[in-house]
Amino acid sequence: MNSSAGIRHTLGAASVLMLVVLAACGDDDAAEDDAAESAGEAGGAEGSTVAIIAPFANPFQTDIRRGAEMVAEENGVEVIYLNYDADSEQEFSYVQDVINRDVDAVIYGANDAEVSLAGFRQIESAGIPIVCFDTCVVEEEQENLTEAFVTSDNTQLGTMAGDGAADWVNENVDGTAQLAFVTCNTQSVCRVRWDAQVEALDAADYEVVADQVAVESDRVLTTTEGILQANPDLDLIVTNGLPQTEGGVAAINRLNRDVVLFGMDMTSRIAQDLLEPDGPLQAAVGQDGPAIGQTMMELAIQVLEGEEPEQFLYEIPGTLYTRDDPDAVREFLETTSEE
Amino acid sequence: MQVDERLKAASETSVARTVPRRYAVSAALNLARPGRADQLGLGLALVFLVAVYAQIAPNFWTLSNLTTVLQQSVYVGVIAVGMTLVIIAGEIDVSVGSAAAFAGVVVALLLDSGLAWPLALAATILLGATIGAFAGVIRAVFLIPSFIVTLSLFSALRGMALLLTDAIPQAPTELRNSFFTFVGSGKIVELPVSVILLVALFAVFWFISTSTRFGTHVYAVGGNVNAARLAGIRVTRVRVTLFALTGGLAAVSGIVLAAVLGAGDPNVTQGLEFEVIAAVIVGGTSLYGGRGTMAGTMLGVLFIAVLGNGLVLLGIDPFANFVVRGLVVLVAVLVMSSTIRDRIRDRVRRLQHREQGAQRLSSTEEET
Repeated sequence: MNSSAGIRHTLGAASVLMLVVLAACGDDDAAEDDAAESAGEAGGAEGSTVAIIAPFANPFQTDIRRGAEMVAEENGVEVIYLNYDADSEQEFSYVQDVINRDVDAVIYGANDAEVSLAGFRQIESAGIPIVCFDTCVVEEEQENLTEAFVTSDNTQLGTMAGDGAADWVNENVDGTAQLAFVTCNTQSVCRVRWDAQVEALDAADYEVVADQVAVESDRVLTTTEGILQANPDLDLIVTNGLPQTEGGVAAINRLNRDVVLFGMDMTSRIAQDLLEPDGPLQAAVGQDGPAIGQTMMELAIQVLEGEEPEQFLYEIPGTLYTRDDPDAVREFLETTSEE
Repeated sequence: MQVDERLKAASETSVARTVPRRYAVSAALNLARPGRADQLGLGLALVFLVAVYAQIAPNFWTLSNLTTVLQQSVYVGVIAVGMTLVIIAGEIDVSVGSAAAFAGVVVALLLDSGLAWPLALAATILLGATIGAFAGVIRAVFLIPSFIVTLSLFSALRGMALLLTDAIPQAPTELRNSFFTFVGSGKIVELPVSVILLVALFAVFWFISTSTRFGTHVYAVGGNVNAARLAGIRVTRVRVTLFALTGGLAAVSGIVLAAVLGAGDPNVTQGLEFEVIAAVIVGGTSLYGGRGTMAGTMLGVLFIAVLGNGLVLLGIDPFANFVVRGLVVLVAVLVMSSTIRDRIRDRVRRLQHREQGAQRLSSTEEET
């Protein structure tokens, strides 16, 4: 009993000490923040604070962040990076936080074109300029609420993946191909890609035997395993996001099935899958995250310096990587920012 | 045996009498263990579900798919055996999903740093167990509810996994070496290695819960902590050990998943904690502690895995999976509820009395 109380007191004292140290660190941060704010008010972009409200954490968003932070550092801009993990409640909480923090500009990736409208309106009402990225609000409100919109050309990404799959069907399948979609269609950006994929696939003769939404790669794994079990004659799987591509490849490999996959997004892991001899992954469309990050931060700085962006919509093209062109895949591996 | 006697004596003390007597007696005599009727009911429900899916779900009743169902139950099952003991002890651990993702990331990073795979494996499991034990110490020493302590870890471990990786899945080539491929996708006589691992863990934990002093202590602590303490059981030690076990098991689950995916992904296993808890509760373990069995948990794990697999084979949206699982847990909790059981028992008794009364009346009328 006594030793238990002793441990409790020791740990309690350690916790209090830790809180004091953290509070002291917080004060330092606050002092630095104040300095940055006053620099921002002095004019120009240097010393300004830009908040990035990102929809979730994944390698593509990390690439965007790195691109943005590189430009910010070059221009002496402080960045506050927030990720709401596709949670609208957390998203609106961050909106309040950046308004209270009185940042100079916000770079905002919407969770959903409709749902996120309220957050954009609040920031705009507070007089803070917004550059949106990845996903923006509904089209009719975009130019009223924001200064510019930087995104991948998601229609182009979907078309590239769909074209690749259609060509494969036409070259390798006699008759009607059996196709399964494993998608992230709860997100508006995924639905745009999917629409384009379906349109491009019109060039092939196929039948959809399964169409499932699964978001995290472990859920994709179990869902795809189920699809593979239910459809012994399945020819190909088409995905429209990174976890769907990774989980799909893992499921095909585990069940050792003769099924191919056309995927989306590019990481070193996906590149390895493309280089794997006889692997199921045929092609993946890569988004240019660093270029999106650089462009959106450059636009935010332009706005802070009082300049008008030259155009409203900046669509950054993607690149199709296939197993037929391993040199391009190897080049990606050499240049990727992943550590 | 000695402990059981002391528990029995403790339940008669004045302190033990301050809590409802039926709980103290239940803890002392360990009456809550059997639950065979629950297991039989769940077993029948599982057989019924399998029979229905075999008829309506394409390719459900194939060796390949049944093997897949077993493989899919591994991530939940490995943690569920430890969670069963935690819940029997009247505790809860909601950090296991984040802990599994964190372990997957840690093992990938250790392998990437050049550490030999046996060391990376051991270090990751040890780290998981240590973090679990830390939660146990906070729970047991500061008497903070385990839900709060593990909720903090739920957030902190997910954040750590994201922070360590910048949200990028880590895919070192070592994670695709022969050992990890063997664990993730290998088979021994047509039985997946991961399933053999699950069966082995189940056997170990079944033995712990039924045949060891520690197992008896877990039931006693969950049944009546005051009586257990008076009987000389070191409650703090039991609690710390339990959380260390779930921490270590979550690490094992995370490593198996990383081996299957070929990457340590910080975004995986979101909601795994609730799947594990659902499987344990459906298996008949009482959330109030003191009651539950390993066999029930394994049936619960299989029931939930079969349920999910069949829905996918039928082409039903996976979001419906969440709804169905939620409803199944609700029904299970209602069935286990002592209030509802008591009411059903009362109603049956009343009907029996009424019937007996009616029979007596009719026989008296016949006599007259």
